Amino acid sequence: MTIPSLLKTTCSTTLLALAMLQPLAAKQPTFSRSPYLQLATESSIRIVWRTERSITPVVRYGKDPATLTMLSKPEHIVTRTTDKGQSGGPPPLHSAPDGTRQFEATISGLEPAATYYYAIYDGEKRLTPEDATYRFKTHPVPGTERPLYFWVVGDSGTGGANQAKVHTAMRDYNKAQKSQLDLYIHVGDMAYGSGTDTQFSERFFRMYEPTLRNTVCWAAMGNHEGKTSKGKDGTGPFYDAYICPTTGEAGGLPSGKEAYYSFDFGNVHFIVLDSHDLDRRPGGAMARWLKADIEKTKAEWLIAYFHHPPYTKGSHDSDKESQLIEMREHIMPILEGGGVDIVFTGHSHIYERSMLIDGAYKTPTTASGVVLDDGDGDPEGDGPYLKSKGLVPHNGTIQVVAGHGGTNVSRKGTMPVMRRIIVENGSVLVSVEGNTLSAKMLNLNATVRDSFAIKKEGVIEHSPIKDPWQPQDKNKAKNPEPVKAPKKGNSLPAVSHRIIDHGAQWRYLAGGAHPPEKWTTLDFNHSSWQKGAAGFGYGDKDDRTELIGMRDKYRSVYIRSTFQVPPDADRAKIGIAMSYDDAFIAYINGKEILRVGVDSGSGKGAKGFHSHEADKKFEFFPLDKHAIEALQEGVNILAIEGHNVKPGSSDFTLHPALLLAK
Amino acid sequence: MQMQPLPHILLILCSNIMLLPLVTAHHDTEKMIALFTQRIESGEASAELHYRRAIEYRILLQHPKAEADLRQALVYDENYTPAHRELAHLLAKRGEQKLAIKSARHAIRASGNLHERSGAMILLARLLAVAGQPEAALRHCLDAFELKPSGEVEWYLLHAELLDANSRPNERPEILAAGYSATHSIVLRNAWIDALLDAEKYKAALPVIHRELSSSRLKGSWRLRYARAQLGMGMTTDAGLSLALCLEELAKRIHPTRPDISLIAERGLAQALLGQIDAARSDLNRARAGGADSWMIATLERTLSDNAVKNGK
Repeated sequence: MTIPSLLKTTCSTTLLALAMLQPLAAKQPTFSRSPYLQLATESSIRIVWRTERSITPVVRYGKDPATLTMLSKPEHIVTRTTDKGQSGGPPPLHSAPDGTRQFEATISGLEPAATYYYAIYDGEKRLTPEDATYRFKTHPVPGTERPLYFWVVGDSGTGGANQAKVHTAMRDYNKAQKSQLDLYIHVGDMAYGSGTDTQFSERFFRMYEPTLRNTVCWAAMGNHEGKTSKGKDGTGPFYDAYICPTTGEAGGLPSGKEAYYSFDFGNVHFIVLDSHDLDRRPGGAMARWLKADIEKTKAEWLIAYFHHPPYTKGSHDSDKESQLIEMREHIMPILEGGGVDIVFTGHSHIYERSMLIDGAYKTPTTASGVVLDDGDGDPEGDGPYLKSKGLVPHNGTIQVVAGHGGTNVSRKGTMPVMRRIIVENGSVLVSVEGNTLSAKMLNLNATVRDSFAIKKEGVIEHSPIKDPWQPQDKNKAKNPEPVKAPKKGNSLPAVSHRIIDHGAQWRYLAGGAHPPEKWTTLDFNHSSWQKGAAGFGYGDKDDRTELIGMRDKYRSVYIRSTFQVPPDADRAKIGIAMSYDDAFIAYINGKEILRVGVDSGSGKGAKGFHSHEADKKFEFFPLDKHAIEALQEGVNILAIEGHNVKPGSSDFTLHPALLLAK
Repeated sequence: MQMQPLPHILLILCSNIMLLPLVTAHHDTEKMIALFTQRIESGEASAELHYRRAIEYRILLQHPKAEADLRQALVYDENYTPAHRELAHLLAKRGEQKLAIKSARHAIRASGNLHERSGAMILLARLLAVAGQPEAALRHCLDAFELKPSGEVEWYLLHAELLDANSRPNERPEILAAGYSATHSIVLRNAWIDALLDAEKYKAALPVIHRELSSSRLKGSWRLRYARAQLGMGMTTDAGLSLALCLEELAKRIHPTRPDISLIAERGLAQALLGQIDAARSDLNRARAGGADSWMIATLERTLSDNAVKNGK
């Protein structure tokens, strides 16, 4: 960049940032850090502020903004200064400007899930304006079901125009939706370049002041804060800014350190880790605490966040960098073994959001054998990701890299487990209500760029998808949502033996019912299913078993047939011949071996159907290595689920045979 | 909208330009290395710049380059403590224990304050323990506590491990209880319970075990501890039931191909206590191969070794 262009960029960035900050900066000069909230529980909260001169600190609060009748107890307000010569009192501020006083007021004895209004006083003199946005809300009682709405931001702390726009976009969106945040989570890098006290004041507290006065920010430390703050002993500007639970006071187990902790909001359990400067190995104290904490919680939802992403190809590469690799290889097994639902991270300056995955711990990361649902998770698209009720180990996790909160965004490559890769600044808004977690990525223009949801209901058993959807390569990613072409079969070969003939009898389940789990296995008892000859369908006069009543009523049919492989058969020559309209998934002995025209999921949860006409023709799909491995000596079972693209379709055909080619 | 007066804006502009290196200093790791290289080559070389580039090389797992930079940092300033400390870590990682110990000793000597000095002593204690010098390791660990009596969670864990390594396992519960009291860390509370079980103080451990069994969602590790207490108190049948339940839960939590090794170590111990020796050995090997720390598999190793002695093997 040339100096003139650099200056131009700097000028415009600064002017824009200033212009945007003006309305937010209309604050009282009394405060060097305006009041902000910390460490909310169901019965208490901390209010923190800074002044540059001595005051007699008082907090008045109450449920009616016009009459703040309650007073904080003087002994519950801690005053911290920059004087390092003191002994025995509260720890001095690490590197605040000389003369700074930081007041930390604990308000306790509050009602759960209640809104209170507050004002800061210097003795009798009110310092905060009469403004009902100075308020706080206590958390619900842990374990109770209450709606939760929170904001996720990462890598924001430039103090520049894009950071301000991301903040404003969130506020505008919430205003339009008439929504209020319950909490704010920051995944680190909130005060570039080194997380100094001044950078915190200017690039975090000043920037987000209207939000921080009424919303607790629960933070994870980023590498930039790590230049001046130390997770090991909890010292530095980061730990001066935040009051994190160390004794389990906000739910979860005591960690003994502010660097990693957990807290509850109703039936949602949050886990916050330090991925930057602490031991990330399974034997380290942080991982040992994590395992104990995760074993203890009885929440319905488990959300974890930290700075370094286990999966990314944004401005960082999780296949190459040690902290990212270690979080994936050492920490993710503990989180997924404990049933984590979603993981938020930053560090990589991009928005990346995964499919529903489990067990992707290897380096380099591939999508093979780790994707449980490759749909888009969008309630308006493929539908939400389905999980079992409660916290079930290895039932699927969504990874969200939200390192796009303000700094320059970029992309190095393509992380194969991702469903959405968006190189724009923005943030994430998440709501949890009952059995559904919904999230939206909002860009800096307040446009929703991604929506997904996780729904928990009953018992959902996932198995890895053999050939999951894949994101488009970085260099071809002009269209952010490429459509995978359905698999096509070959023309029919010369046949030496029909293992299951074209008109063979099958057991079938139709009428809109869906089979239970394990229906694809040999042991499954299908005696209650109807018998019929292939093919199955309606509408095109090519079906031996006519499915009368299928049209407009249901779209899926399940069939099963046993077979034996001839002893001398060359298994590589076996294949499924299929005439189909529109899509199907085939299983041998419980293993998925072929998927045609179905993008993701199976059975009731199958999604993304592609239209296909049978035209009384058969296509031949030779068994691949994976399918051949599924074959066993003696009796085998071939199970097939057939799907119509929509219930109102004019025809449906599912007509298989199992052939041995010459 | 009211704007700032012009001089104020100019001031901010100027300060923004001054801050440009910082504002742009949050690129990816390769770019950071390029930036440091450029500065080093343009005559700005210093201990700090070489150290910072070494950290970026370490993140990219380019250890030889990181080591070269750390050594260069020490050429510029032989008392640059962060470089000594980091060098000790790197050398230990590639098995150069003696050299690592030398670097840690340098770090202690070069430490500018008590905080740095105590941290370097703990580092040295760890390195000495790995090098098979548990007595010296314990001495340095205690020296660190002298400098910072409140200690840290990891220090108490190390202290307890070193007591074990110095054949003083029965002193562990007291140290861990003190650490729990000082830090409130649940890791120390749980390690204290394990130490009580190792010391056969079952009754002291049982109240916590019962409480955790009734209040935890996943109970496997507490069932395992309970089984150890039950076995110690001669309640073999009850222990068998606890272990069976523990294994049932672990089966759901252990990923078939890519497991959490701490769960593998727990499964190994449960199997060993049930007399399923081959399966337990297999899990022990798997945990070792997965990089399990010695404390994680110590009880499993002891149980298998006791079993071998009992069976005359």
